[in-house]
Amino acid sequence: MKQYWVSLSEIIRNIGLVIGGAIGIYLAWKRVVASNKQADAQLRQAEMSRRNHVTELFNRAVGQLKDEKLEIRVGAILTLGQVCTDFRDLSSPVIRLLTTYLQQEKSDYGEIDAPADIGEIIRIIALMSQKPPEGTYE
Amino acid sequence: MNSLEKTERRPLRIDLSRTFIRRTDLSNANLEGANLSYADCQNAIFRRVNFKDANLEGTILRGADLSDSFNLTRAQLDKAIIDETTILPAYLRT
Repeated sequence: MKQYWVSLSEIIRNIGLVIGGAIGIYLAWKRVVASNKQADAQLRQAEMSRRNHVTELFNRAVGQLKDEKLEIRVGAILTLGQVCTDFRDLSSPVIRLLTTYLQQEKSDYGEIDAPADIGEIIRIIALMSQKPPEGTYE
Repeated sequence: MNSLEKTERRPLRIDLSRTFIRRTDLSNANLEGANLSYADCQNAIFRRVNFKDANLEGTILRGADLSDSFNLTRAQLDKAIIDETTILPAYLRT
């Protein structure tokens, strides 16, 4: 009779261990899922911050392209060039913007060397044309 | 997948038509499929440039340096404006 109770208690203990283990695994899995969701949310947030930052840079540079001072225009073009380099998916719209600038601000500088803004745009176009963009706004 | 998530890689579409880009340096550029029609590229430097399918209609290439450029065809040059000061790639100097 005593042997029976010993066996029964061992069975109950083992069942308890299995149930406890299963609950532990379930809680750990829930925690992993929650962590993954949080990581995804943080990635999305970082991507949105990046987009906002680039949009701000882009808009500011576009405004400065019309500035009458050459150094301001060159600064804006250098910023756009940096956007191209750092955010490859934006290189296509930036290049389109710069070529539109060349077409609109068509200045006949005669036989002298190209002004710094024109030269810088051409340098950026030559550089970026060697590296196809990664996913583009079309 | 929306338009921002396209992952295919293709050459930039470069439109330099009707621009004034004299004495600029486009060396090593990939101008595949680019539009340079009616651009003024006098004395510009195009060394080692890929001109595959580039539109050179009315492009002014007087004094331009096209040495070592490639995928440039006689048909493309016939549409451009060149003179004796234009430096052509070796395979087109005949």
